[in-house]
Amino acid sequence: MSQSRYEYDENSETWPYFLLTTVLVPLVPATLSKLYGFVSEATDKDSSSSFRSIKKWFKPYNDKEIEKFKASRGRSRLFNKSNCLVALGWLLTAILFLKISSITLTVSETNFDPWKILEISDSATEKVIKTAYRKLSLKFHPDKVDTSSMSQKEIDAVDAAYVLINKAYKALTDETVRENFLKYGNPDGPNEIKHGIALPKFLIDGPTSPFLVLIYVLLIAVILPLVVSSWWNGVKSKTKQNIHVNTADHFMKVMINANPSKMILIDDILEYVSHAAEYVEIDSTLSSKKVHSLLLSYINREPTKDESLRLNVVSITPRLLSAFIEIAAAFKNTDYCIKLVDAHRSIIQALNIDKDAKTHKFQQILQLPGTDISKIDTTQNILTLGKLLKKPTIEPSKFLGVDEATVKNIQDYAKSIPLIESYECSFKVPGEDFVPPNSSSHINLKFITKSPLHKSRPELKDLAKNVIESQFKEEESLENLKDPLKVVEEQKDIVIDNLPPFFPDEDYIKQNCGWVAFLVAQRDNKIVEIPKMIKKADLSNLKLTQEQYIKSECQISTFKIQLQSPTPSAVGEYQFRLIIRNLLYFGSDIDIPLVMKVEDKPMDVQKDVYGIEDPDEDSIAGAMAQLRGEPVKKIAFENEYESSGDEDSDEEEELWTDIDTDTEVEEDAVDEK
Amino acid sequence: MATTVLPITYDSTSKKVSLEETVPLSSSKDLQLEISQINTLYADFIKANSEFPPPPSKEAFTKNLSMMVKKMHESATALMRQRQFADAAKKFDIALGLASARSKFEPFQPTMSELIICLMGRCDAYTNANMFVEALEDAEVLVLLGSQIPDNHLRRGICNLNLGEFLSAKSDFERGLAFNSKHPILLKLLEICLKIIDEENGDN
Repeated sequence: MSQSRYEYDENSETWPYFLLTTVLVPLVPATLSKLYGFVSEATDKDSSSSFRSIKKWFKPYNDKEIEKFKASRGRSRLFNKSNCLVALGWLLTAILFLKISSITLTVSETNFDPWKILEISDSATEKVIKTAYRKLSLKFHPDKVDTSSMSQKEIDAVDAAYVLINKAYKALTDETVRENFLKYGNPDGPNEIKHGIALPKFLIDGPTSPFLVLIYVLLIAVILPLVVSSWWNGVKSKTKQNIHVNTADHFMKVMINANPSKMILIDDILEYVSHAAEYVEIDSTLSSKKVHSLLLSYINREPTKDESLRLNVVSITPRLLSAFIEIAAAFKNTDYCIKLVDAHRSIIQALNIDKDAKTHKFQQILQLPGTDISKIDTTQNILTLGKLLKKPTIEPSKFLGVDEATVKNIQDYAKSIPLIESYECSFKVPGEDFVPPNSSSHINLKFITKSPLHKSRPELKDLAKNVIESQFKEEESLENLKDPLKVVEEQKDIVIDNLPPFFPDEDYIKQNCGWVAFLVAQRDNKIVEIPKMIKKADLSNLKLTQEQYIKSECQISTFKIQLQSPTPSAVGEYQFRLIIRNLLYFGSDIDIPLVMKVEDKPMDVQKDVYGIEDPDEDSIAGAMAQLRGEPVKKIAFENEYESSGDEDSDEEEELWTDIDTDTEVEEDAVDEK
Repeated sequence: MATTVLPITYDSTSKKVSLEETVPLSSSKDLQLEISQINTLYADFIKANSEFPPPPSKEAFTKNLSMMVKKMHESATALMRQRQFADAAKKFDIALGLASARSKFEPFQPTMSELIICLMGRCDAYTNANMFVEALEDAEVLVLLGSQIPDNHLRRGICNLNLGEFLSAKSDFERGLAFNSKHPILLKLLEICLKIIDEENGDN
């Protein structure tokens, strides 16, 4: 057909399909994942009344800017690059579909369809075939067609059509041709395999071919390496915690130079974090000094001229602090970790707890929206949320210096702050009731969440039976033993009722509104395990009244840390402390002392489980058991010797007498001599 | 490797390194600290008057200084008995000054204990004189130096309790109990601490 070895897509039959496949392969998964994201987000919003804004009764001084920030976030989420690409992809798909539906397949050698050629249905009888053939051959017969006014090309086309009509007729009537057609899809029998290019010929052989070559060269030599290298740089420039490598490097340096005798303050932490490379990505003109001053003015709640820039800076800071916590934990530095958590919640609550002694003292009260250190009656000893809600020394309105309606709102807000109370915390080795040496263990913490309004904690025996059965004691099923952390994962996500009003990035709060747990060795006060977030817990306890709370309606939650290192090889008691700190709120922390008692109990020989008796002493099994130091059944020796010893010797004698008569005679002879 | 030239000069008469005057003090705190450390070490090295500092051994420390520290400690404890805590703290302070005035090339292992004993004394004196912030500083150092001594945690716990850091106090007492679970004072104070925490939460 053509001179070159390849066939080209002259009739534009193939390339739309080719392009359609290329577009759909990445488009469909991308769309599905987008849809899934939207759906899960929508259900999240529907399912709970949580994460409410408290803007109805309290507006922070920079409310307008915060709202603007949130709005821009929301907009950018809908109209971001990837969403546009997906939309574009579907537009292209639609166009391709239109194009494909308009393609009429012209008959050629490659798609031979005798019925179509003869313009009959494929169920037509022989008679119909014949008439159709006659009609068409009359029409296209080279002798019948008036070729005088036609160009050579047209004449060729008519010839080709006639040949095809003949072929089609034969394919339907002649036996051998029909067989060929059925077998190979072609009446001429098997034809050579052909390779096609899904591009029209003019693109390759015509004058445009240098451009195509250029495009290919660009694609392979320039664009592909660029894409790969930019992707690789992106991967390389971020650490596992998704912070810039330079930032991680800086945090690392801070930790290496950490001076144990120096007390660190929130201000120091902000200074450390202000060197992060991420801030420069927000605005290339930002210096670390500027970032530091912005952060400091934010936690001091001082208005600034450049509020939107400050909110941008503030919104990424907790993420950096979380990564810093992980790095500090890798350096086993407990003091830094705890201060970093403090800095984290200082940012979330926009409260500088190290500003002065009074702010530090009243930090739990001052985190509540609508409170102000200048209005609070600081002579009163109301330092905790619990005291404010349960046993205030004076009227809360007088103490807080606000009107009654606001007090009510503040109290409601305070009530919704989750506290944590531990029931049982111990080291567990799956399948054992003690901790053997060199085993893989986990920490098992059973706790309840409660509101600061609740007094003390319910007795274990007061809890509902099903709670104790299913939540306190875990079922010892094979699955639980295999994966002890499964129980934790199956719990509900932590959701809080009210959003802290100052921090601009709601999504961050939604994902991090839990506690972080550090395991610390009492001996040297060093962190021994990678810190882990408590992200799942049942917060329904917070809604209970005191009556319900104390009487059995509490739900118990579980938290576990799988220890990376095995339990010590030496038997003994090892002292630890589990430090649990809330990432958002002040005053929701606990420390739990923990003892790991490593014991080496010998394996109980399960004698009676199968009713197997100890092996006899004189059997092989008995000998093996004795070697292993296991008990065996004693045999009464003396009796056996007395009763059967003689018989044995008799038998022996008989045996010997048969064989060795000669020697006996000789011996006898000697004896006689 | 790029070499950075530090803004420092060496004065051969006083035999000391010093920071150039053009450098603002605020931006060179770490450097200042390192320079003072070098100067102290070098001064001690000159005093040693030998090519190499004497090799560290158990006996190679100035015994006279130990005697003086001991005497100062004794007089301070006598003041403690007379309940003159502020004066006692001053005496302990002097004793500590003496103990830390040793040549830096002396082995510190045998002399560490006298430092710790003096620090304990000063911490207790401050606590009894109700100077809890100063006492807490000492207690922090003590916890770092001797973390396995329950009494050090007791000291820090008492300071934290008096400074209103009840949660820290509680974990201090618990940490002390980890090394001696039957320590009567620690047990008593932990109980008091828990009561105070409950009261502060409006729970009692």
